[in-house]
Amino acid sequence: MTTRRRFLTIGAGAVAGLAFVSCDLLAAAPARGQSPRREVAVGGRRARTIDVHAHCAVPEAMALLNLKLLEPGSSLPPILEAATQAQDRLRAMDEQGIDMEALSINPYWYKADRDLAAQIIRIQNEKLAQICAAHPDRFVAFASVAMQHPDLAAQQLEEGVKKLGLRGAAIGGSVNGEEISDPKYHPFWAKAEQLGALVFIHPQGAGVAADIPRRLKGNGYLENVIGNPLETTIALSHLIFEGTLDRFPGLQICAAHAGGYLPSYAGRSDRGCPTRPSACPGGTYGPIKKKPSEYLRQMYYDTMVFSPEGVRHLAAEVGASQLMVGTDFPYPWTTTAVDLILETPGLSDADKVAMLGGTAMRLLAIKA
Amino acid sequence: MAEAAFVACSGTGAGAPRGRRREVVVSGRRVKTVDVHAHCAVPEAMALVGRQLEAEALLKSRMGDRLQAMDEQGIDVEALSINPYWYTADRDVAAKLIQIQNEALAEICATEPDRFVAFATIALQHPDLAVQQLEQGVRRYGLRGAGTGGSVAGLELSDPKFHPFWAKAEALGVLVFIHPLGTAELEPSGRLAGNGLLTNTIGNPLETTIALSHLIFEGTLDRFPGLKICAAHGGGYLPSYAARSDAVMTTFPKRMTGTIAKKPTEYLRQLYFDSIVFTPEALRHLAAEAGPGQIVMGTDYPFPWTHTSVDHILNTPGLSDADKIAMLGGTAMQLLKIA
Repeated sequence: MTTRRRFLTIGAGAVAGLAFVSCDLLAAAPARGQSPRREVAVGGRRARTIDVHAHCAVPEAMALLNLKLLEPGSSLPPILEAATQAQDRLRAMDEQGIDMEALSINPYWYKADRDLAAQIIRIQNEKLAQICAAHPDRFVAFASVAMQHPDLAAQQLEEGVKKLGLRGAAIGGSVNGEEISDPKYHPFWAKAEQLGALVFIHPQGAGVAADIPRRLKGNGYLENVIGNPLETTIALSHLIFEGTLDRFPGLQICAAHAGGYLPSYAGRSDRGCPTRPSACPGGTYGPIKKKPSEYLRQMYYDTMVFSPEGVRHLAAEVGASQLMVGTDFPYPWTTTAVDLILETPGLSDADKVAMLGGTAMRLLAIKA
Repeated sequence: MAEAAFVACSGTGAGAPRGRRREVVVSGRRVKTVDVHAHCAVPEAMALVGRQLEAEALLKSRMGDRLQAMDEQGIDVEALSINPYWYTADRDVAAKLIQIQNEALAEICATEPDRFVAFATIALQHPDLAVQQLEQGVRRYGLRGAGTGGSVAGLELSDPKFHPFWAKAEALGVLVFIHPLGTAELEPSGRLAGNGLLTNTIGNPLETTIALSHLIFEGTLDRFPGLKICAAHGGGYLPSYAARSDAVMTTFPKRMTGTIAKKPTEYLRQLYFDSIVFTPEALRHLAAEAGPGQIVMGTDYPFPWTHTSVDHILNTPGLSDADKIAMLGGTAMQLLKIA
């Protein structure tokens, strides 16, 4: 079990005292003690909990780009492979009180040519469908799509949803340095809107952080701490200011890490254009229709801001109905995503039930 | 001059008649209000490096307009600063430029001593010179601290090269006002291009976020624990999205290449931030994250981001009268030694 042990060396210091990689993974071999499943209740009633930010990987698809999940020096935890590590994943979910995960795969294939991208995505989406079929009450999944070939991405989304039963698509915060508001991606957005499928936006590690490497080096892993929320902030800002959200008003978008900085620091976006109108000539279709902060109230976000005050503020800015549990599994950013919602002040029971799972069930077509 | 539109109707110079002065009162008591984020410009210094004026309203010759705006908005005192444009100037030019500028700032303050104080300008690209300029600015010209950019010609403020400056600021006990200049390194990528002024609305808070993150993670705030720093625009994104900086330390311990004395968010409670976050909800959040004692009023004058900084504080829910008085001016009076 060297692979498991290696994950522990990555994770153990990180999670001293945190549950999900504690002793269970060490004991992961044949007969594990089954830890009880945490059943979350709100106001005395069982509440279904759904994690919309849960990573996984399909090594068979990665191999097509000569990438390996377990190569030496890789920072990817083996447990990412949901197919073979499902039991460990389920155990972590049980401990944390997560009933279902909506699985997604961070894009690494945006430079692949059309044929290769088609092959990668086919393998990946079929595997995702298999995992969901094996545990239909525990997993749903976002289709992976080859955004660099927008018409192909639209097909992949449609096939993923209609043929494979996937519930939406997961995309990066940029595509090879291009904004996802670029009109070339309109076929994808049009298809997502038409299908009513949720699009989960997760920042690209190779995105904006790679544009300012010097500014983010040093202690603190700022490439991630700043790079990730920044990439999402830029992506959402362009979707707003370039008019993408006006053109496709029915889009259902969920942005990772609480939408980056944008919803938590929303006021400046509203004031930029009145302060300097010359910098706001309009987007692709002319002036945008609403105040920038109003668009924030029609998008969805995971709850990954770590503190009750952070969630309270986020809910105040975008509405409690726009928030859904996210854990970032298997990266140990948090193991208390459920408690975070339960402990946030000012939320009604109905708000909590919605954030814990109700809203995600509706958006991801999960049956009650 | 779209930026300066709001002073258009108020006359052109010091001689113009002024309207009534708004006197701010909290729970029946007159409160002195201080704006820590107020820009100005000294063209004689700018000429030395061929710098263009961004807005007429920055000029000393428009002091009447400035006072009128302050009167209307209920601002009793402005702490003037000049955004650095001289960080690539050589030593001699920088020395001359700063001297002209700091003398001009001192002159303005002397003309209206109950309405203006100022931050010294300093040539941070020459740290030993910056140390002298700060000391001279404070001791000889009566300036109340220093203004810096969020980076210095591509170097982070946490770079050890700047330690002599931080040491002097700490020794003098003066406030350092950090104001971003956008995030120049990001602009060539085009990611902030297009509609929406993202070079500013994202570039500015980003630059401050990066600057403060390095001051925290590189240990500058540990090395100089007595530093008094005020970061513009509510400290950028950092205080409003604070907890990710704590969480990364336990999530990726191997990426922590240095040791710091406290949790990153704890440092936020020793820094100061201006109140330029625009909404009562955002200010409430900032106060919850940093502490109401760390927030000082800012307007960004003469750029019309807001004209209602006083009301913003008065209308923020959950603040006590003491909190409001502190934010409106009490804390700034203490930090800037305003009587």
